[in-house]
Amino acid sequence: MIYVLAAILLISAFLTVTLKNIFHCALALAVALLTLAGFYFYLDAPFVGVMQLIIYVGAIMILIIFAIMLTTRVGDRLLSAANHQVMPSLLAVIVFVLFGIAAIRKLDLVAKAGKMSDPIAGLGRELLTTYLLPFEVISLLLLAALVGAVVIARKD
Amino acid sequence: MVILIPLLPALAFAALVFFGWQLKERAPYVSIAALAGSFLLSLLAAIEVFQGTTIEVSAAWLPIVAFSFRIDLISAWMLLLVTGVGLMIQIYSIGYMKGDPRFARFFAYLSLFCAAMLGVVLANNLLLLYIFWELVGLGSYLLIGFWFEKPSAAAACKKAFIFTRAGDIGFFLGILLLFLSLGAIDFQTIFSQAHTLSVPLVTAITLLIFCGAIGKSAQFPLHVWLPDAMEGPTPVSALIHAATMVAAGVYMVARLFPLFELAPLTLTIIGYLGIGTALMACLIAVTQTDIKKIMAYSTISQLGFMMLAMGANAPEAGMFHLLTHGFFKALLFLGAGSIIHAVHSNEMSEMGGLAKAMPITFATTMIGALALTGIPPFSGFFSKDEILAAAYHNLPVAFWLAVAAVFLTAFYVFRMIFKIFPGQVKGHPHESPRVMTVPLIILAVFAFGFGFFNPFAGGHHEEAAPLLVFASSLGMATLGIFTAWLLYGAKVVSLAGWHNNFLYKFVANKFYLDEFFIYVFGWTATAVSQGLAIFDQLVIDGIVNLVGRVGWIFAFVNSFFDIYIVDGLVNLLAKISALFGEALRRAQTGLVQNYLLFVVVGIVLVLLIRR
Amino acid sequence: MDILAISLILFGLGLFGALTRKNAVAILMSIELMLNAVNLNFVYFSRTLIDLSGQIFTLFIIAAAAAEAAIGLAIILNLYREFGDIDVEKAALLKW
Repeated sequence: MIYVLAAILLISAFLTVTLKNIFHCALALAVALLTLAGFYFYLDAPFVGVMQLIIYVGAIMILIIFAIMLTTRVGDRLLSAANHQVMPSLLAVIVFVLFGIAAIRKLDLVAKAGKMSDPIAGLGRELLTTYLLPFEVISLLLLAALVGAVVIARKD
Repeated sequence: MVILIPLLPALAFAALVFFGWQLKERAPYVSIAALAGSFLLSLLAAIEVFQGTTIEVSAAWLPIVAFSFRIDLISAWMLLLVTGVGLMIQIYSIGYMKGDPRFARFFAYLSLFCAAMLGVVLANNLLLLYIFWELVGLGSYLLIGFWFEKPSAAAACKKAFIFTRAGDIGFFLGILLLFLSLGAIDFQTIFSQAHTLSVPLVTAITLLIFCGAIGKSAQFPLHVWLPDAMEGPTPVSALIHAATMVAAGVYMVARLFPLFELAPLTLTIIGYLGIGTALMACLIAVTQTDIKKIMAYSTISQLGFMMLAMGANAPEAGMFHLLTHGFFKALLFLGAGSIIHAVHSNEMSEMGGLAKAMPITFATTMIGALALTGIPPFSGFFSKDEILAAAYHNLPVAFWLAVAAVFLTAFYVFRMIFKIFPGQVKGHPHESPRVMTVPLIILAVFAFGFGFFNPFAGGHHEEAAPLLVFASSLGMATLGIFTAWLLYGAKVVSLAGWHNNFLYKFVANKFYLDEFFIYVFGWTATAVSQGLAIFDQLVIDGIVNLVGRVGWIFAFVNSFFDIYIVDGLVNLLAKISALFGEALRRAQTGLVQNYLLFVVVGIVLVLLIRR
Repeated sequence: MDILAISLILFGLGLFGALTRKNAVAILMSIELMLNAVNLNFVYFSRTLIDLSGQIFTLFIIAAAAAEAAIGLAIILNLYREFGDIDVEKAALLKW
């Protein structure tokens, strides 16, 4: 089951970064994000999964589609998908991933037994006690980003 | 609570800078309320101090510097002077600055100035003192240049800033030297450990520190900024002259007196420099026709007196004179401002008969003049007498010079009085509004009565003033007034021919000190830059030309072979560097992704190496 | 363990996209992929170590990503207005 999800995820991610048509890329990204939500449910993180659905698949995808529609005219020439540094990039990324896999294989991680009891309630408690300050700060960040986006995008 | 004393005006400054344009006419209320608050707090603190305690507050700031304030007897009185006189001047400014386009900004600057000065008064270590000291310099720069549209005002504020900075360099070097030799900068540690230093070292330190006082308190030869500072609005001049800025130098010497005490040579230099400045300024004041300029030189000479007191080992007398001078000079300045406000001119030739037209201004100015002259029972008499007594005991030569300065002081003050008050009314002057006259009256009360109790009496330098001192100072003062009356009141002797006198011209042009500075420093700078220009032309251009010409001649005279060698070599060098440049330029593609790729490759390389 | 490898490969794909795509929106999407790879890691560790902190971090990252996407959109709009195109190779003003 999880490997099917993983295959879908990696294939759609691959399509996202290689497809020529930017709309198709966005669709592939949506699929990848959806699959990730599935991963979260699988990993006993239902709240994060739901958030993934609402924010990523919902809000951010809409933003990206907007960005595409606002900046691409129908009949525009398709930008060639990649620039001139494909080969060096590919090499660098592959070496990087190989290192990562080597590191993961060396990792000595023992899963703890048992399950989290009621992770959603726990999250709520943690967010409003231990992580209250970061929680407030992130809301401030969102507000600032909102205002900033309006200011940057405004026509003078 | 103590921290609030300078903080309140500082907050007023911030408030007025940001919101002054909205407050407009109401701006003064903010700054006056803040300063009044500081005044009340100072009063509370002073009452506590007068009962024999010393207030100290301190907060850790940097490892060796605490943010510490201290109020003792001297600083308590200074606090009262600064806040009190500052308050009077701010109230007065409401009337004086009415209708100015930068009305609110003016009060913001006044607040900043007062806050900085209060900081200087309170600071309990040298670094803090120095920081506020520079803030005072900044405040004076802003205020003197307040009417910066006038080229003369812009020039004057630059001059004030540069000349005081020149002294501050010495001050800062002194602080550094002291810190290097003691490892501490707070006053108590310095005073308790300074005696371990060798006398030459202390002398060097104190002389350097005194340089700061020379600049701020306008002593010879850095005094030239003060008369030019008259380009600022008159309340500013009053503030600078009476309570802040120039008082800072004297106050600093008094505060550090336990240190100065260890260097007798420095004290002697201070004393003679002080009385020399006083005499010189008195002489110049006699020749001036602009009443604000007269006031300015009068301030310089009175500061000279205070420095004389420091030099004569009597800081209490100097501080006493600083306080009385603060009141009567503020009074005289505001009086002058009131006159200027009515006559619309600074020149004495355009004034006359003002005694009838402006009775309150006349009466209060008269009190100020008598206090400045040192006629008993006005306040100036008491403080000046103490200074003279101290000088008589410790610096006898300076004492006789000081007596001469007393005569000149009386002469120039009453020359001014006789020229502008009696006689026929010129034009249509009228008495100033109440917001200006009330501060005058309040200050007059202080200028009259403050001398009766000496706040520093009972100090360990107290010595009975001999009759000779009393008699000579009073006699000289009276003689000065009488001479002024003879020449300008009764006009017994005609002065027509005097103005062409060589000596008169020499003095009237302020001993050509401004010209001296311009010629010496200006000329030096020009000469150095011209020298550098010649160096540029001769050496740099010369080398290039020489190489070119030699190559050309050789090539022309000998053969084309030479051209190929010489040019080829030069071209080769150029090509090599161009090649390098071209190669390195390629790394800068301007493409963000390209840079990112370099980052990733870098990470991979690090991983490879660390494996 | 496998999920760590998956997230690593996902990160690599995102990085590859960010390095090679010309379209600014595509770069933005690649960056989202990288962020998601990190999120997946966090959630995996949270599950393995039975510790809620991982999920909380993920939530914060999602919020930050939303802010980033909004700002990114605004910047891309400006880019489009300035150059008439969103090819990042045209925005090479850093090169003199």
